[in-house]
Amino acid sequence: MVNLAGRSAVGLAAVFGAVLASPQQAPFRATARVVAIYATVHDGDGRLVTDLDRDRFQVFDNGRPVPITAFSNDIVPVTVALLLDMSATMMPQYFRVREAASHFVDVLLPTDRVRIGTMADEVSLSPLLTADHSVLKRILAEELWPGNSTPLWSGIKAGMDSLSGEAGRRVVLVLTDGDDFCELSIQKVRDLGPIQQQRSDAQHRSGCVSAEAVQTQATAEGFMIYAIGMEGPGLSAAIGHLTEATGGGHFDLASDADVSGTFETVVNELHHQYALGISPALDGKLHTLEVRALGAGFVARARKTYQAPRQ
Amino acid sequence: MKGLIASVLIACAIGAAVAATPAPRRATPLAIAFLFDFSISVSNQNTESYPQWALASEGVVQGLRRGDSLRIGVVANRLTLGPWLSEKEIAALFGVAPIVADRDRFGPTPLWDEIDAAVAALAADHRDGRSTILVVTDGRSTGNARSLTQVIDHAKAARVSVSSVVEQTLMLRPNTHAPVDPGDNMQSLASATGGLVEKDDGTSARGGIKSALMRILVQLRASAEGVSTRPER
Repeated sequence: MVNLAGRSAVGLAAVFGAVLASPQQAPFRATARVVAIYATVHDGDGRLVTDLDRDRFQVFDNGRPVPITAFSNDIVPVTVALLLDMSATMMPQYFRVREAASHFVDVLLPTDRVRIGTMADEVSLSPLLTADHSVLKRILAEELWPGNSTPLWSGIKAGMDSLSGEAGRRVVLVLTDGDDFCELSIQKVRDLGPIQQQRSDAQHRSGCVSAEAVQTQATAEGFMIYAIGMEGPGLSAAIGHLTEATGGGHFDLASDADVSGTFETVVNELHHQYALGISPALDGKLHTLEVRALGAGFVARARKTYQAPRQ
Repeated sequence: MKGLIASVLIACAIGAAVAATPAPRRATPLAIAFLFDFSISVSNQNTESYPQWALASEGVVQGLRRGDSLRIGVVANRLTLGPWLSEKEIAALFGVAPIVADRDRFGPTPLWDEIDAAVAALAADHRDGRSTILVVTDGRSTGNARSLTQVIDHAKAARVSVSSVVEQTLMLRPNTHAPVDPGDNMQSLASATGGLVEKDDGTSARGGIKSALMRILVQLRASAEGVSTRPER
C-alpha cells in the first residue's frame, strides 16, 4: 500500500522526480526537495512492527516537528554492499561465514540487489551488483580468501562508493570480528624489517580511511550501515555509533550464535522499513533528525542527521 | 626435433622429473602469454625490487626455444598485456621489473577476468604454435565479472592452455590449516585446458619459482609435440 501523503503517486513523482514503487524500485528517492528517511520500528519486546500508518509517525528536524510529505510501508527491495571480513583471525570462522552469507542470499527477494566484497590484504568488491542468486553464490564459492588484516573503514568506504550511483535506499552490511587494523597493520608490519617496510609504505600510500571520514560520507550521502560482530574483540564503539547515526543496526554475536539467523534478521528489517519523506530546510547545514513511532513501547530507528541543500 | 632434444636436455639439466619418449614430429613452438601477479597479497613489497619477478622472468627466458613467441602481462586490479616481443625486447625487458601503482595492487585481483582477457588476446592475434597462458599468482581471485567455469569454457574453445605457478603465501601454506586452497581452482583451470600447475612454497626444495616455470615449459613443449610425459618414480 503506497500512501503518498494523500496525493496521487504520479503527481508526487513529478514533484520529486521520484521513482515510484515497483518490483524493481524504491517508493521514492531523495532529491533536493525530499529527504528520504527509512525507519525500523520495534515494540517493547523487540519484535519488528510492520503495519503502522503514516499518522503513527512524527519526524523532528532540529527538534521541531515537520510534515511527512511522503510515506510507504511497502516491502521495498534493497540495494546492499555485503562486506565480509576475511582477516587471519576469521580463518576458523571461514565456512560458518560462507554458509551464513549463502543463507543471506537465500532470503533475499528476487528484486534485491547485492554486491559482495571482502576485506583482508585487499579490499575487493565484485563489479557485479546483481539480483541473480546463482551469481552471488558463485562469488561466495570462488572469491572468499583468508588474508591478513582488516581494513574495516576502507572497506566500508569502498562499499559506499560502489553504490554511489544507485537510487533509493543504499545499505552497507559488514560482518567482522574486530576493529579496523589498517594503521596498526602498517606499524606492525613496519616493525618486522626492511622488506616488510616496503609493504607497510605501500599500504600507507594506498591509504587508510578514518572512522570520522566514513561517518561524514555515510551521513552526507544517506547510506545506511549495518554491522555484525563475530566473537573476538567485538564491534568498536565507532562502528556502533556509525550504525546508529545512519539508521542501521549492529549485532554482537556470541561464539555459538546463529550467524545465518542474524543475516536473516537484517534482511527482514530492511524489507520492513518504513519510507518517510520530509521537505528539507534549504540552509546548507547539517540537521538533526528524530523519528518517533507512536505506540506503547515502540522504538523507531532511523538516520539521525541530514545535510540540507542550499537554496 | 631440435626443440625436442633441447627440451629433454633442459629437463635433465634442471633435474626436472620428466621422462620423454620422442615422436617423429617437428618441434611445435609455444605462443606464451606470461602473466605475473603483482597484487599486494602476493608480493608484499615494492614491485621494482621484488625478487620473485627476477627469478620468474629468468625461468621463462631460459625455458624459451627458437620459434616461441612471448608477451608479458601484469596482473593487478586489471590486466596490462604487452605486445608480442622480439628476442631483443625479451632480453631487454626481463632485466627490469614493472612498476605497478599501489592503488592497483590493494584492490581486487580479478584473475578470471584477466585470464579471460589474455585468452581473447591470444585468440585474436594468433601466433604459430600452441597458445598457452603461464601465470604466476597466489590464486586468490576476487572481483570477477566472469566465473571460473566461463573462463575454462572460453579457453577450451580458443584452444588455449592455462598453466600456473601458485605462490603459497604464508597464510595459505599447508601448516597454517587454511580452510581453502586457491591452488585448487588453478588446478581445475589447468586440468580442463591441458595446462599444468606447480606450487611454490617459498622454499628451495624443488628449486623455487624459476625451476617450476622451466619444468612447466618443458612439459608443455613435450605435450605440444605429442610426446608423452610422466613423472619419474
